Amino acid sequence: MSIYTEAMKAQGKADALDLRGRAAGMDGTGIIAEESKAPAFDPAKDYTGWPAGAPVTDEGQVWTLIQPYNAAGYEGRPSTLRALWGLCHTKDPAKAKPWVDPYGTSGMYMTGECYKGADGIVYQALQDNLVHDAAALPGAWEAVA
Amino acid sequence: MKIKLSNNTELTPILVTGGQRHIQGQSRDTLSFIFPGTANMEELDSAFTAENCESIAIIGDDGTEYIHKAYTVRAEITKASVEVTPATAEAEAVYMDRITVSMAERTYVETQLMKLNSSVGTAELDAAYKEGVQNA
Repeated sequence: MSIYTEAMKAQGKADALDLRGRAAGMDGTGIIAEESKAPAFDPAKDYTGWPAGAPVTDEGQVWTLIQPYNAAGYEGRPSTLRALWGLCHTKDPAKAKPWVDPYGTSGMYMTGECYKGADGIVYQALQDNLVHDAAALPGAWEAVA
Repeated sequence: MKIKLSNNTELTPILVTGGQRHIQGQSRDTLSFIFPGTANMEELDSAFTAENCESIAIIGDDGTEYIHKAYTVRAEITKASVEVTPATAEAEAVYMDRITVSMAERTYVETQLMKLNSSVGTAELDAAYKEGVQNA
């Protein structure tokens, strides 16, 4: 292991801890802009020591911890543990993620937030509290990219 | 005469000269490429980068080709009026604008340092960064 890789590893750890500490005060757009600093979800990890709002990446999405818990004691992952993980959305079309159905009020799309359709088109919400995609509610979305 | 750089850029200097010069604290073999004053200096500046000068082929009008490796240290790029015809008893000297680009050879130690730096690739650094993020 060279000093270069050791330095990069240390930088990655420092950046991840920094984002984790700030994330609770950030919106989805800000967190997704820094998603390279979010670790991948680990189903064996104990998240009880993590602050609420800490981000992870999983299945092409960015999720934030709602309720700290020990993942080793739970079956599933953020997409199936929606009471424990919140979904981030971005207003940056370049960073848009595939559509995920909201879970109750969690993960609803607000004005300006985007998703990337299966057709590769990025749609941006024209109103708050959207729970249906552009195919189901075309008037509520604008194709932007 | 023409020269061909590593990125396949071909240029047509009037003359190429060589010699030993003291550049960046080292005595280095240096190639000087002399172009007409009408050549585009910015284009020459862009062409003679360290990357493009890893290999410089000098191709004579008779097809002979000499390849010079690692002349990557920029010594100078200047535009100056030079004497192209010396004064004689009957005529004054003739001066014309010329652009000179001089590239000096990288030293052995500099080459070894470059290899050391490139031995740690971007992918490896990216992987190390991700490992750090994951273990945070």
